[in-house]
Amino acid sequence: MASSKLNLDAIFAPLLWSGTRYYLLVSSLLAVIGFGAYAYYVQLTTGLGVTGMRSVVSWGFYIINFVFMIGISHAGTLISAILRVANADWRKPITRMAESITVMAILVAAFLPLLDLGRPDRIANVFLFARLQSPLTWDFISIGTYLIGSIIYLYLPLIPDLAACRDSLQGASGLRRWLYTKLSLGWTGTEEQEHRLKRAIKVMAIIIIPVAVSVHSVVSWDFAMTLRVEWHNALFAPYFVTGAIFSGIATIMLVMAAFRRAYHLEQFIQLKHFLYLGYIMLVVDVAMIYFTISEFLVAGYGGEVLDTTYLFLLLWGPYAPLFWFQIVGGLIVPAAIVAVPRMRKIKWLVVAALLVDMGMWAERFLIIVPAMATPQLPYQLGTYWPTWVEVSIVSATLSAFALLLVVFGKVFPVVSLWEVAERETSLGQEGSHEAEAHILPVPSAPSLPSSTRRSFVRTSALSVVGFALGWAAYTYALKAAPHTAEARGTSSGAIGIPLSNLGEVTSLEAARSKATFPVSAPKWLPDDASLQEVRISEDGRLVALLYASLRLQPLPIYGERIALAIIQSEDVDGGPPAYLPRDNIVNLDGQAYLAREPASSVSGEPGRLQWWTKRTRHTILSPLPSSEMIKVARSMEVL
Amino acid sequence: MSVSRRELLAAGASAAVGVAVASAFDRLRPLSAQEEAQLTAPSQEGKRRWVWVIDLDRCNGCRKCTEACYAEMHVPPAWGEPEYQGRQPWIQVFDQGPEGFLVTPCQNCQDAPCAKVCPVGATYYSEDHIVLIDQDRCIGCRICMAACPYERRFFNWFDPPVSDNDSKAAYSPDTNIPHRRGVVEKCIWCRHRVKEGRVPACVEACAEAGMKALWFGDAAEDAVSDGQDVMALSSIIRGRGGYRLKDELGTKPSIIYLPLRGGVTQ
Repeated sequence: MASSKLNLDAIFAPLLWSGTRYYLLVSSLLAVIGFGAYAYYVQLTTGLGVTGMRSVVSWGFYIINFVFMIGISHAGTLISAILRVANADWRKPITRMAESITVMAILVAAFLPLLDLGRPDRIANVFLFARLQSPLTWDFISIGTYLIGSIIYLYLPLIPDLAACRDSLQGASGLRRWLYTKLSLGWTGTEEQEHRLKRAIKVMAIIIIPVAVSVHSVVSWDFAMTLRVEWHNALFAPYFVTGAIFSGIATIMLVMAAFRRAYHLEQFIQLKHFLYLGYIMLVVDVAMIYFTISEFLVAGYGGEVLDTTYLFLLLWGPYAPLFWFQIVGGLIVPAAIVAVPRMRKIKWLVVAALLVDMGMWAERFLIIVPAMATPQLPYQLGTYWPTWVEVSIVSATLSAFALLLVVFGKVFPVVSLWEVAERETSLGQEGSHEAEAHILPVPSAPSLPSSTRRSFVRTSALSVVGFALGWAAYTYALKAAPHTAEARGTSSGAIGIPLSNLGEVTSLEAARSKATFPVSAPKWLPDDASLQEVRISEDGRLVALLYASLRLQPLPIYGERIALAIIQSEDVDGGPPAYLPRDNIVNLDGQAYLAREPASSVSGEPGRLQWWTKRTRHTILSPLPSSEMIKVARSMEVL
Repeated sequence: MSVSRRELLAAGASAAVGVAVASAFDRLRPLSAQEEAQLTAPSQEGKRRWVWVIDLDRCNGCRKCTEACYAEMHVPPAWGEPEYQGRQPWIQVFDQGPEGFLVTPCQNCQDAPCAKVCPVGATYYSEDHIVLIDQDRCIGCRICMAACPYERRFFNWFDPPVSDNDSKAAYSPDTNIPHRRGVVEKCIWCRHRVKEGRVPACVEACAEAGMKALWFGDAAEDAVSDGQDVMALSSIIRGRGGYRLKDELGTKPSIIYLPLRGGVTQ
């Protein structure tokens, strides 16, 4: 059957031959990237102030596009993995593109937060001083895991195709052939190899799904873990993940359409692929509408001030055009296009996909900017408008994404040949055998590496060297890191008291008559303590009796000689205020004392005893143990 | 000698393990006293409990506090933030019309959202539990600014002007002088003054201007001062219906606000 015979030239030809349009595209993408590099140079040398971000709206285009690109990355792996696990046969011509979108999108997305850093030169600190409590650290871990997993997941199904390239592309340059030979890992298509490869792909397909879900959840938690209105929201993680899948599907459809047209892949990528993806997109679209309604209904109905301020910004405020575009253009219209049978043409489905991507970009903008602009206290609304620097840099990252895809499509087959061939075989079409034979070379004897003692020794030796190098690199990096401990050292040290002055010096008699409460003094004092000074505050509500002692360790906060301070103040409540620590209460004679033993460490924190009588609050500060301070306290008598 | 793929993978994996083990060892070794202080530990009993009382009834909105702050901390500009005139308002005074003024320095939360989210531990608690920024470590990611529910964090978007004197100063997180580009700034309760036994510059300025709206002190000692007088903390807040800003968020802010007594000042 001629119709099912695969025309492999369609896939191989672009690998060997490039037209002017290709070079035009690459050079214009490079030009955009080059200009973005210049813009970043300006930002690096002048400061982040060349962006539109300021203290109120302190995240802008970079973080918006970071979230958007991470969303797009879900395209691929997640969709392809789910379809693979579900054994959906129609997926086969499009999985490769989906998986490559993922890898390229993460590569670009991982770059964007670095462009947003005020001090990119200190990026090593993220590893050297990593704090697991910070959502940004979760980001680094999850995105790193996702990138590595996606590369493996893209690479595994590529191996048989790389072997096919190695064997079929005789006209390729030496470098390419070397690349194909090295990367195809000696694939010859034996049963053993095929069995292992399929197992590995299956395992990766299952592993990558939770990883992908976790990545966008973690990205949402960068926001949701703050206490900001709109962000601090349990809906955020599923909302982000669903939105990511949504924009991901749309991006696959756009890339499919582009490659289909540029590479003449009509034979492989047909209306049904767009349509099936469109159906999935419709389901996710409905889920997005549901999430949106749930979020805004909850916020609006409750009517909390900040919630309604934020809602107002979206519904009628400065962000309304973008918001309504997202709702109508990004959610409702695409759903309508897919739902109406007459619109189910590739052209319209691509329009729907484009709208979805634009709508999702708008959604990422609306999540970040209005939420940051919403005043947290009675401040003015924040404002944000990107500058040419941000627009240039973000355009450059989008161009880099496109360029990576274009280059990928020039070096590797964008359709999974062996899987497509397998599908043809399984459909029972005799014409495909020829193609399969062409792709999967005749099985030959397995040539598994024989494990010898020598290779074991070499592997071990190299492992030891690698371990040592890793260790040394870390230690060196730690040494080379800025010596922050030094700076902090200057900030530690003994803490004085700002209250060196407890009021005017006076006599005990004068204090008694001026005070607004009954002043008392102790009858019993330890050792050689003697009254040194009496101080009274201006309003007469606080009286301090300061005792000197040569034998007791002085209280550093009151100068060199004072070793015992009895501070009394007027207190109508007659009980400890709620903000004082309550965990060390001593009960004696029906009287509650708040006691703290003096610290034995160098910090020199004095012991403290506090108690309340009818109208007075008493505090003793001294290096004495609390039992002795209680003795002083019990001997107190009103003057 | 050619290295096989398997061997290369083994060596690479070992290198990763080496990094991981080295970093684990680095985390496990006993800490020096200085490093101990770096750790962002929650408030410890027995340490100072600095507290601020802001008597909004006494504030007439003169903004002497903000000016004193500019002078004391050499505060960098705000670079065109429409809301902030001129310099970063580390202590900002809002005119709320008939509801009087709201004065907002850093709330110095005991459970600070900014310290929680910092990926590199650049925001930390000092021994006396003031939230400080180590600008030698800050990477400028600004997640702390997103996390602060009081919007009391600012960023040096450009190179701030630095006087000759400042440029010679040894950097300390107690002052964050000399200021530099690409890092986060905030009010640090004039920790350098507090260490010397003085109240923050804004508190002193407020008392000198005759307002006496700002009081600074130690909650554990139950005493506050405005640099001139000393009052018992419990006595000045009694019966005033004091509150903490957004206390319900659980950030445990250290500033007690005393509302208007039932009329507009002036």
